[in-house]
Amino acid sequence: MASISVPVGGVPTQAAPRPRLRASDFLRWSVDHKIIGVQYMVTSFVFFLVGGTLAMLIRWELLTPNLDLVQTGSQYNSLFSVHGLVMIFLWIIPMFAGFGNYLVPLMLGAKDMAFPWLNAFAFWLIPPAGILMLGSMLVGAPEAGWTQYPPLSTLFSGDGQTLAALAVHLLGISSILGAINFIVTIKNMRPAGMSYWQMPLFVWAILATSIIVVMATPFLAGGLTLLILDRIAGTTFFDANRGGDVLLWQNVFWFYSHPAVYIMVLPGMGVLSDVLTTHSRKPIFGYKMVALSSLAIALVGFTVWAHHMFTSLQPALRIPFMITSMIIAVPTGIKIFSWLGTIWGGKIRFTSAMLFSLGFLSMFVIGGITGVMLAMIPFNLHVHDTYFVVSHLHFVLFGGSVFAIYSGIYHWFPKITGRMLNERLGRWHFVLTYLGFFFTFFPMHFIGMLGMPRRVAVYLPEFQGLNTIASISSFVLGLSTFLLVINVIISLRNGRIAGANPWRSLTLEWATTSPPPATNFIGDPVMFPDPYGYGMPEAAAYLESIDRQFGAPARPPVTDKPAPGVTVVESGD
Amino acid sequence: MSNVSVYHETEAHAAHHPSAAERSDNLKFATWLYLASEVVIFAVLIATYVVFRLHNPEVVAQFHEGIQEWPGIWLVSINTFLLLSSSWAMVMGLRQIQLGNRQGLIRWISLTALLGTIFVILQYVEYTELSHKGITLYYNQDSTFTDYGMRFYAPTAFHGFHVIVGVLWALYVVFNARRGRYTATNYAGVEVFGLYWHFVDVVWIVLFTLIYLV
Amino acid sequence: MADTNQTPLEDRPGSPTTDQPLDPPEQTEAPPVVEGFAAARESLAAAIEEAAPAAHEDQHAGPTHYVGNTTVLFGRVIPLPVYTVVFIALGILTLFELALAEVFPRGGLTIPIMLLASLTKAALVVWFYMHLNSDSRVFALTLLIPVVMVLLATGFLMIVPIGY
Repeated sequence: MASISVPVGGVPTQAAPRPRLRASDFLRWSVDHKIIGVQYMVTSFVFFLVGGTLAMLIRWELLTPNLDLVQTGSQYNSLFSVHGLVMIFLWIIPMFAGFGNYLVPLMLGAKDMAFPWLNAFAFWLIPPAGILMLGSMLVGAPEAGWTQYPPLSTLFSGDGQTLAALAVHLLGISSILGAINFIVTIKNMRPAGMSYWQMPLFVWAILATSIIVVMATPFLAGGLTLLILDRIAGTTFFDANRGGDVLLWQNVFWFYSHPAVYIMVLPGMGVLSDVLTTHSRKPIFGYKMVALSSLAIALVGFTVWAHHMFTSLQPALRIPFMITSMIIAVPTGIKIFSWLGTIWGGKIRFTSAMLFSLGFLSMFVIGGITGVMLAMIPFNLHVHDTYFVVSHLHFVLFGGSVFAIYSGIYHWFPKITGRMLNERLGRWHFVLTYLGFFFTFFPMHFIGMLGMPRRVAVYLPEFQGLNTIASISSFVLGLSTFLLVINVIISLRNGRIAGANPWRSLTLEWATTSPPPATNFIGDPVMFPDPYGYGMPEAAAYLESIDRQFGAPARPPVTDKPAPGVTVVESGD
Repeated sequence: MSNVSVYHETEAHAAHHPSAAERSDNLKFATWLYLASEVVIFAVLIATYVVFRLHNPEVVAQFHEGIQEWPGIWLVSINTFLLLSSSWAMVMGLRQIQLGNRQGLIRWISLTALLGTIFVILQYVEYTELSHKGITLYYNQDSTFTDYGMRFYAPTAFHGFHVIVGVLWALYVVFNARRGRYTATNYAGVEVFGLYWHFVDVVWIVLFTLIYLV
Repeated sequence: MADTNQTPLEDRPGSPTTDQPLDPPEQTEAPPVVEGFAAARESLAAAIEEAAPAAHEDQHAGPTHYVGNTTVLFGRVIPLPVYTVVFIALGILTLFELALAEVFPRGGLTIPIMLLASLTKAALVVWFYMHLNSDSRVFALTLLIPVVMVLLATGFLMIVPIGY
C-alpha cells in the first residue's frame, strides 16, 4: 500500500498515449475487464443506432395519420416491437454493464473482476442474441411489443417472436452472469481499508442493480420458457381458451420488468452522483442516503409491478400497488434533492458531461412526476395505453438512462482512450439532443391525454399537428447522435491528451494512467479516504500527487480555465 | 513490467493471483448467487403448478389416484430416495477430501453420479408410463388431464435437466480428482458442485411433496 | 511480478516522472501541498491498519465442517458422522410424508403437515449439507431473500383470479 512514494518535483505532462491496442484486440475473446467493457459499450452502441433507426421509421410513419411508409399495421407492429426490445435489452442494459465492467474494478483498485472468464462469456452471449433479435425481423417479425403479451405473442405473431424470446432469454442469462460477477467483485475485492461506505456511488448503484438483476431476471427467464413452450411445444400456459391464463404472463413479466426499470436507471443515477460532484467540486450531499436509497429503490421496486396492470387487475388489488408506487418516489426524491444539494453553491464547470447530467436531472424529474401521476388509479385508467405512457417511459429511459450514458461517455472517455472528447462538439450534441428530445416526447403527453392510443400506425387527423412536431424533433434527436459518433472518431485521433486525471476527480479509477495498463495499477493504488472529499486540503494534495506520478493533461479540459495545477489549489478552499 | 504502458494480455493473467481461500470464497458466493436466481426460475414453474392445484383440486386428485398402482408413486418414491442418497454421498465425498482422502472422494462422487443417472433413467420410465395414461406436455384434448400435463412436466423436466447437468458436473469433479486437483486444503471445486447438487436435491424435496403428495 | 509491483515508481527506468522532471531532484523542501498529502496518507495508513484485520477475519476463518466420526444428538453421542445422521432423518421424514399421503386417511391438517415436513427436509439439507450453519451469513441471506420474495409472489398469484 505504501509502496507508491510521491515524487517531489514539477508536474510532468503525460505523453501522447501510444497505440497500445489494435482494433482487432476488441474483436477477439479477451478476459481483460477493460477490453470487455469497451466491447460491451461499442456493441450496445451499434444496437442503439439500429434501434434509433427503427424509431426514426416509426416517427416517419406517424408524420401523417394514414399508412404511408409501411403497407400494413403488422409491419408497424414489428417496427415498434423490435425498437423496444433492442433499446431495452441490447442498448441500455448492456451499455451500463459495459460501464460497470470498465469502472468497477478500477474504482475498487482491483486488477480485474472476480471471474474474468465468466465476464467474457457473459459478453459473448450478446452478439448472438443481437443477431437472433434482428434476424427475427426477417422470419415473421415479433409484433407483440416489448412486453410480449399473450395472446398476441403466442397466437398471432410470426416465428420471429420465438427468436426474439430466445434472444431475450440469452440476454437475461448474460446479465445474470454479469451481475453475479459484480456482486462478488464488490463484496470481496475491495482494497484493504475501503469499507462499503467509502465506495464510489457508481459502485453502490451497480451493487443495487446487480441485486435486482439476480433476483428479478429469472422471473423473465421462467416466463419466457413458458412462452417459448407455448409457441413451439403445444402447451397452453397462456391460452385462456385452453386452460391457460394470460394474466400469469402479465404478472410474471412485470415481476421482472418493473425492477428492470430500475436496472436501467440506477446505474445512470450512479453516473450522475460521480459526475455532479466532480464537476461542481463539492462533496456529495448525503452520501449514505444516496447509497441506501439505491438499495431502497431495489427493494421497493419488487412491490410495485401491478401498477402496470391496473386495467387488468381486480379492483380490490389495485390500492396497495398505488401506495407502493407512490412510496418508491421517495428514495428517488432523496436522490434528486441530494444532487441538487450537491451542485448548490458548487464551482460548476459546464462541461459536456456536466451538461448531460443536468439534462438528466431536469428530464428525469418530468418522467418521475408523470410516473407518480400514472400511479394514481383514476388517472391511470384514463391514459392507460395512450401516448402519455409512451412519453412517461421515454422521459425516464431516454431523459434518464440515455442522458446518463452520454454523461458517462463524456466523463470517462478520457480514461478509456487517453484523449479528451471535443467540448465544442459535445455542447452542440447536448443542445440538439436536449431540444430534440424534449420536443419529441413532451407533446406526446398532450397527444396521450387527448386520447391517441399507443402502438397504432393510423390515427385521427386531429392529432397530426402535435405528431408532426414530435416527428420533426425526433429527426433532430436522431441526427444529434451522429455528433457523438463524429466526436468520438475525431477525438480518438486528434483529441487533447487527457492525462491521468483531467477532471481532478478523487475516485480510484483516475489514479492510474489513461488508458490504464493491463494490470490497472502499478503497485497498489493509494486510495483517498473520502471518494467525494472535494474541497479538503488533503484532496488538493492527493490530486497534486497523482499529477506528479502519472502526468497532467496537456492542456486544461476547458479552455477558459487556468492551468490544472492552479485549478487544484483553487479547489482546495 | 518496467514499462508502464506495455499492454499485453498475458500480464493480466499473471497479475491476478488470488489466494486459495479468496478463490474459494468468491466461488462459493457466486454459486449462492446463481442458486438464488435458480430459486426464482424454479418458483415461476412451481407457481404455475400451485395455482393450478389450488383451482383444480379434482384434476390433481385424479392424477394421484392414477399413480396409485405400481409403478406410479412407488417409482417416484424410489427416485426420491435415490436423490437423497446421492446428496448424502456428495457430502461424504466432501468429508473425505477434507480428511485428505482422495480415493474416498472419487468413490463417493462416482456414487453420486451413478445415483443421479439412475434417477434420470427412472424419470424417463415414469414419463413414458404417464404419457401412456394421456398426460402429455402439449394440450391434450382427448385426455382427462387436458391442461395438467404441461404444468406437471415443466417443473419436473426442468429439474431433470438440472440433474443431467449435475451428473456431468459430478463426472468432471471425478475427472479432476483423479488428476489430483483437490487436496485437504483446496477443495472449493468439490464444495461448489456440492452446493449445486444439494440445491437440486432441495428442489426435488419440494417438488415431490407438492406434486406427488399434496 | 509481485516484486516489481512493489518497486517505487520513480525508481523504475522509463517511468514518466523520471523521464522529464521539470524541477531538479535536489529540491529537498517539500511544497506545502505535499506535506498535507503526507499527513493524509498517515491517517489513511492508520485507518487501513484498523480496518484490515476485521475485513479479512470473517472471510478466511475456514470452516472445518463435519469431519468427525460421531454426532452429539440430544446429549447422546451417536457413532455416526453428522451427514449420515441427517441422511437418516431425511429418510424418516420422507417415509412419514409417504405414510401421510398414501396410508392414513386425509384430514384438514394433512397438507400443512406434509408441507412442514418437506420444509424441514429442505432446511436440513440447506443447513447441514450446504454448510449454511458454518459459512458466511451473507450466503444465508442470498438464499433467504429470493425465497421470501418468491413465496410472496406465489401467494399473490394464488389470490388473483385466473382463466382470462
